[in-house]
Amino acid sequence: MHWKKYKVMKSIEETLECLESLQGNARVIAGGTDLVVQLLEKEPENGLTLLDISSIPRLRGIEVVEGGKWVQLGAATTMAELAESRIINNYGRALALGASCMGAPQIRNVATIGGNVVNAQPAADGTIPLLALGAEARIVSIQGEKWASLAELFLEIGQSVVNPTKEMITQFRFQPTGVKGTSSLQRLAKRKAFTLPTLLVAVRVELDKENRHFEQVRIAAGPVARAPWRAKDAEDSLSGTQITHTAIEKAAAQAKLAAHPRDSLRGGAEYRRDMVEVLVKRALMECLNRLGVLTHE
Amino acid sequence: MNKRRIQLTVNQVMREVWITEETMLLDVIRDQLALTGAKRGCGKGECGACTVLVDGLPIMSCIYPAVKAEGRSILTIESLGDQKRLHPLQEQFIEKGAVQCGFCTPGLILSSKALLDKNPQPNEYEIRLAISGNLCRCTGYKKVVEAIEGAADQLIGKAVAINREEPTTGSIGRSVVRVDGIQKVTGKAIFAGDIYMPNMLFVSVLRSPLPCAQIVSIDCSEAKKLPGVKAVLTSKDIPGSNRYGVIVKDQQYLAEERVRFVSDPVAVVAAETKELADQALKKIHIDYRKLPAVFDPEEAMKPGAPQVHENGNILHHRKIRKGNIEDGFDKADIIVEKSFRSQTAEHAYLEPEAAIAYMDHGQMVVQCCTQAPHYTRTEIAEMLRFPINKVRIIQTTTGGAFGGKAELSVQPYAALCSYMTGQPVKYVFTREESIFSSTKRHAFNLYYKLGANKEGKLTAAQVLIIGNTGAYASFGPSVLTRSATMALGPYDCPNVHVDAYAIYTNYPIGGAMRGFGAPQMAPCHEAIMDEIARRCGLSPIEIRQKNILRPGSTTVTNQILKHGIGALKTLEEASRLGWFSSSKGFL
Repeated sequence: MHWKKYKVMKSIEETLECLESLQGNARVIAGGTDLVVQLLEKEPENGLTLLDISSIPRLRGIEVVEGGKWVQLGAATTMAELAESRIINNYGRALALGASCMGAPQIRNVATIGGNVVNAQPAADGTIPLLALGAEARIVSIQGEKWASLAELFLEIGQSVVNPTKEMITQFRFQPTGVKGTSSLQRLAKRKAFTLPTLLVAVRVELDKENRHFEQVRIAAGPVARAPWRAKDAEDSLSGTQITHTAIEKAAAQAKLAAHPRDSLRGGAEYRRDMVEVLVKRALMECLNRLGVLTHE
Repeated sequence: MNKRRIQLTVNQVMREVWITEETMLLDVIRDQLALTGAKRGCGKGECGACTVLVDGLPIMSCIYPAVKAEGRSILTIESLGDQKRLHPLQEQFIEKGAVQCGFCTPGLILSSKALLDKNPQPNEYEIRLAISGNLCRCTGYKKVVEAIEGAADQLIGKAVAINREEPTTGSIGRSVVRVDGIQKVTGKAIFAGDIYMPNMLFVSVLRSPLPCAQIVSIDCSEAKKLPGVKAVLTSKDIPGSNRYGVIVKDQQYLAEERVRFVSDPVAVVAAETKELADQALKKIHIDYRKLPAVFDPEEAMKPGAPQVHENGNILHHRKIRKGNIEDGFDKADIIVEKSFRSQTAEHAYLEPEAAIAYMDHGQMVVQCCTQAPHYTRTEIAEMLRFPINKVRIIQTTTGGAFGGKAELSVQPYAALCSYMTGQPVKYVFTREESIFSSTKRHAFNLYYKLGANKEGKLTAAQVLIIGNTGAYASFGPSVLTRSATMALGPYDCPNVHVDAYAIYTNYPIGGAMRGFGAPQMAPCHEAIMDEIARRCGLSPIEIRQKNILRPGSTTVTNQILKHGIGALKTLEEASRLGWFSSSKGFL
């Protein structure tokens, strides 16, 4: 047996109680499109109980809360729901794009954004845009709950700080992009379905009122490090800077310099590094185009 | 294992099924509800053959735990239409030629149905996106897209239903419905894996983890003790011949003393469930003595290389000699030398190999996917020491093959276990097992030297082909012979010297695959033709016009061609379509 029990949970409380009473012998599962396959490939592990949270009503759905301050989404919202959501397409477009590229339609109908994040793959199609959007995750355990910045969640390839035998993510939230803001996702992959990207870059841009300066820029990329990654140097060099071609090129070059991808089946390290520059530039330019801003030399 | 009962609605009917904690929805649908239109292509949610709709949404049922489906509504291909009243999607899949082997078809149709339910007038991009989770290896996707567009038009009333009146006169000169089209679009076509028999046993094969090793000892005693395990067999248990091979009988069903590649079979188990058979494999203890292995065919040709078989590593050497090669190069103004390498390729038919074997009134019957029922019959008869008329092979609907199912795979093991237990026995490869153990397109090392005069006419060609045929011969000698004869593709050359070698290594077995040794040659001779064209100042079209085979030309084997040669016409058509003008023509 690859697991001892598979239980469909009805509520967050029930899940936390089960986690508590089974003392490390239970773990949270949502869509299972990764975890089920991983567990089936492993040598049978006795005693594991899987707690399926994907149909808990409070973990689903997308809404704008606190008078427009946050876009909030349930952790068990499926990738297909994100890809089609009007709220996400309007206020966090990169996430809708990322979700629409993940896996294949049959996978997106089941896979959840929470699983995508907790799995902690460096180029996860939902995680990279969430990181660029500046998202936070609500982590709940029997001890209590807290909002944590997504940037602080990742430790290693496949390892996040969320311990699935004790805790669960219930919601994500990010500030909606405003009238002077938008986001973009650039995905390079060997084929359009069924594959992780060779490189994924997501960018969020907020401009000032006159469309002259970048007010805030967030750039996320993967797989260029052992965890989902932010191009902080590039972000800093753009924030508060006048919108020029030179500034964009400089930032893209900085992102390339700071990225440390590795060789894998899906692409060579050198190629990926070069493409970081290309995709960061494309993503920034696409944001500006969408905001109707022309860059100056 | 504890079982529990759940309720779910399948095709609008409330059903109660018994599941374990690990049962997947696909198992429920196929094994309990006998709805075998949903297929298992990979078991990993990567191919889409298992697609069903859960509450209207397509999902991969092979990785969808059945317990999640409790209380939900499932639709399978069987709900769509039947022989008398096809759904427009089913009609259009037949009409547009979108059905070939039929293994991916049910999944494709269900993904399309989910799309059209939500978006009655999708554009091409939306269609391609919707079916991007359904892999097809035979048809490709163009005709599928056309079929979905056709069905959408029919469903919104933009087009009328297809009138399928049977012709009263013969079928010559008219388009007829594919003979098994209706079965395939309705999910009724029976593949070997879809056959279930009472008391049937399941097979698992223990395969070598090492590329080259001596078998010191095999201990099956623990495996035999497991309740529910009906047979644990090694080479000693084979009643007849343990040697097989389509050209050279160098392969053993179950290894006797030596294994020659990773996944070489050593023991076979038949048990009441697949899980039990897998469990028994873990209880078989084999002591191997590791031997040096060789993977590179050129290394394998060197003196002192590890010997894969007793008679040396050169399985086959095909020579072609035409004209006088020295003369030919003397006459050449231009000589181009290039070397190439081509890679191994897996057929990856959507249907993994499957067979079910049973005794019927003293006759061994094997129903299986295959391209070679007669060959299979001969080998199984020899293995079981049966007269040939006591073995019957029934080819079931075969889910893609591309040459890969011209070989034996699951059939002998199912037959052997059925003979030894007296029960029906089913053996279906997992996708992993299929990829590990099946034959592949040969990887080639190719060395070309071509001479041409100033006008661009070929004067001499010297070609060396080294094919990695892996651990066993399979179709290797024939493939390399075909490569040798196709070394110059469609070009005429008076002086030719070809040496093609099939070399044994401890690599996966090279066998038959689409084109059978010819596709590896094409990029080589075409690249060199372009190079000669450049040096002569000719266009790619001109160089080919000068050298292409015409009526009266002789091939590399000195066959004089008389008629039916399409090469020049192909070239003219490529030229008309703008091959040269659009891309400068060079490859």
